Amino acid sequence: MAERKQMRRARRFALRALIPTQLSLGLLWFFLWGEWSWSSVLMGLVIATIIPMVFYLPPVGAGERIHVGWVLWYVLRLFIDIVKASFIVAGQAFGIGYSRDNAVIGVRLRTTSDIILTVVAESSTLVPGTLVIDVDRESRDLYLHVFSVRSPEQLEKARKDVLHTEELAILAIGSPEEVRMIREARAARTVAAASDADAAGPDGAAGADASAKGKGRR
Amino acid sequence: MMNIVLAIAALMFAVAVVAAIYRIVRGPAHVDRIVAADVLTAAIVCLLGVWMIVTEDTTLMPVLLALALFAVVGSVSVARFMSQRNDD
Amino acid sequence: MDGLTQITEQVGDGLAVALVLVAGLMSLAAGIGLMRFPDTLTRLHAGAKPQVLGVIAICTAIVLRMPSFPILALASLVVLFQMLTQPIAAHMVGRATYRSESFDKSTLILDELAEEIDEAPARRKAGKPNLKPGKD
Repeated sequence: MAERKQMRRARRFALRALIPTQLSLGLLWFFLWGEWSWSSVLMGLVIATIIPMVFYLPPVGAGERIHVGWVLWYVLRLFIDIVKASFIVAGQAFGIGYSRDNAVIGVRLRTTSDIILTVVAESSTLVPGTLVIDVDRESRDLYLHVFSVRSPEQLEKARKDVLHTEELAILAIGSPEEVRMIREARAARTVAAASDADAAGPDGAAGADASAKGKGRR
Repeated sequence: MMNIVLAIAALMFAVAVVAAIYRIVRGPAHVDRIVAADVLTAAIVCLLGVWMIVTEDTTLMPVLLALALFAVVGSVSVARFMSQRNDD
Repeated sequence: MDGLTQITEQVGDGLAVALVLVAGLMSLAAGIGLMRFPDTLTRLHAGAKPQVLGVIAICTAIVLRMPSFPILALASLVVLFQMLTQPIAAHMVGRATYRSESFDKSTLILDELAEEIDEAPARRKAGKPNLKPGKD
């Protein structure tokens, strides 16, 4: 009896994961035809329903939670990073600020879901300057090849950038437990920054600056 | 004025094409050749885009999509072939 | 009203030309990087990355110049497709290069993947779990 209920739940999960696939494939067909007619929309939905059933793919499990605001912020940040880094790498091709040293660093991610691992790896590869060479699924490691390292701080910055991307991705489409973990980490970081500024001395301006920065990150 | 600027841009793409062909001929490893082929395809896509802007004729849009597809599939197949050969 | 459409059209055209110049700069950088850089993996960086921005810029320029829904749809498809698949291709090529060791290893100042490859069999033989001490 319990086994049948489990099978039914598994089938419902697979069907629920089918709907985003169906919608995006239908939208793809509609965009390819490019005309505002009902026939392209309906045909898109029909084909988008048939194809994932014929070419069966395991459900990825990304439909639990989508926060539209954080998704938009993620896309915007990604786009800004791409533009900035493309100009930097283009300058390095012409010889400005180019260093012969490269490096391979390993970053351990805190997420347990595969789709966030994939999204972080893809975003890190998309931004010029870093390239994901290897992924270790069991230990959640990403190995990145960093291009033209000018100082050790740049390596640390690359590591922090990957972890920051993971934070933003979890806030956008992560599961509720992971979001809670991220929010706790961010709150702890804000408290640490404020207490550091307090410990640095009775510098009222610096303290106010640090706490304002912490509030701004929220 | 606009045509002059577009001609300069087309010249830049042409330089990229020549460089890519040089690397395809010269490149010591297979990886160099496939990366150069990717750059070549992207430069051709950009040249077609400039053509569409100059002539205001958009019938070539699906060609861009098809070229992008070819570039990716080519790179992935060569990479897999190289990995397989490495495992032997 | 007619003046306003004229001004918007001119601004749109100017922006399109600027975007085409940006794309040209990116492709030029990719080409020169291909010729100049001494090592396979760095040539991969220079060749496969800036072209994403180049394709995005060209598609935006096309849409600015000839705005209509079919063009917008196809251009956004091209951009989305490039952004999704270019990293996959770059990753697979980079992984194949790293494994076949056909690049200049002396330029790497820090190689944590090699350390991990060296340490993992010894760790597994010692019976420890397959996780090295975390680095956050």
